[in-house]
Amino acid sequence: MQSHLPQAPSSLVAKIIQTKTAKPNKEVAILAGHYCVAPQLSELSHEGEAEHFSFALGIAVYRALVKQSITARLILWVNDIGISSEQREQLKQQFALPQNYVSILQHAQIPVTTVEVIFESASRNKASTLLRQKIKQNPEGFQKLTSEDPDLVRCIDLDSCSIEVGKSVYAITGPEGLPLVMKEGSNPKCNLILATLFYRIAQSNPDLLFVNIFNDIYIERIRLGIFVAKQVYELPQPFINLFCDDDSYFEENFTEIKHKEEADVV
Amino acid sequence: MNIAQELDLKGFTCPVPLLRTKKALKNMASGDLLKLMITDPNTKSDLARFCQRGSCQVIEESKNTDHDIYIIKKL
Repeated sequence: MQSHLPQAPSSLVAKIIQTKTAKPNKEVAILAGHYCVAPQLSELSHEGEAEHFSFALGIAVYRALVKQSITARLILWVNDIGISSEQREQLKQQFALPQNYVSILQHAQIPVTTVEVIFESASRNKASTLLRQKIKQNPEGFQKLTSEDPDLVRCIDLDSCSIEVGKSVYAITGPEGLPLVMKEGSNPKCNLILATLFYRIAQSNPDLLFVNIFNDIYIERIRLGIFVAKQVYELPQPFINLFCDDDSYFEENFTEIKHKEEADVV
Repeated sequence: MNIAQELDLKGFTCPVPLLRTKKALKNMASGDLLKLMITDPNTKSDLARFCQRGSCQVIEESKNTDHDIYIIKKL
């Protein structure tokens, strides 16, 4: 696998700068290189071509922004769900960036310590707590249903997010008007976990622009994660989303997803 | 219907079915048909969103006793 950097497209960098200027964002959070550690998801590990390219593109964008004196953060989201709690604890204690990611950073002359690593399990645990608070604050904003409801829209994650029988489900009305499951039994779904990740990143600096760079198979998950972030956490921050293949990407910004206030007006 | 390739993805959960579909489509020619056998109910929306990019099209979907069947055409 090559460690050379793709060219950060000037049109993309210009768009990021324009978005920053238009919506006085002071910082850009680049989420790139997301990968899974569970052995059963080895096809989605850091060795996946799209994952590698996602990270390399993220580094290229980061470098281009820093050159223009724009404050940027590089965030690596690691899926540590699907392994035992002991393995998860060990992973967190001994975590080191994968060698192919380190090579990309070295090539770009960016210190390894620049990368902020966030584990999916941490967002998952926080998601349950925050959802409880949100439901308490605004019970009318959520639907409590049973897991057998045939109209439920789910986005399943491995192991922790299987469909459960006879459990309570917390849902909101999704972008297509059907109940979108955010939590089933004790399991927050990946849309809520992702929304919680965005929420937690935005907490440290609300004047933020998110640049998501993910494997294109996650397009539906990212769409629903952003939807939940805007509806449940009322995040006002703009998102630019890039979805990668092995050596190319496309942009999809889900313009149909509105901020909560805009959606309420409509 | 002339199926170029079949993928038995029963038992696999999101996002593996879509990942394998994407990899299979990559090696197929334009116009080729791919048959998918899937048990994960969420792959439907994943596939629909993925195909919206214009590289493929779901041309048929049906239900078997324990799985769903999709026929995808590579565009």
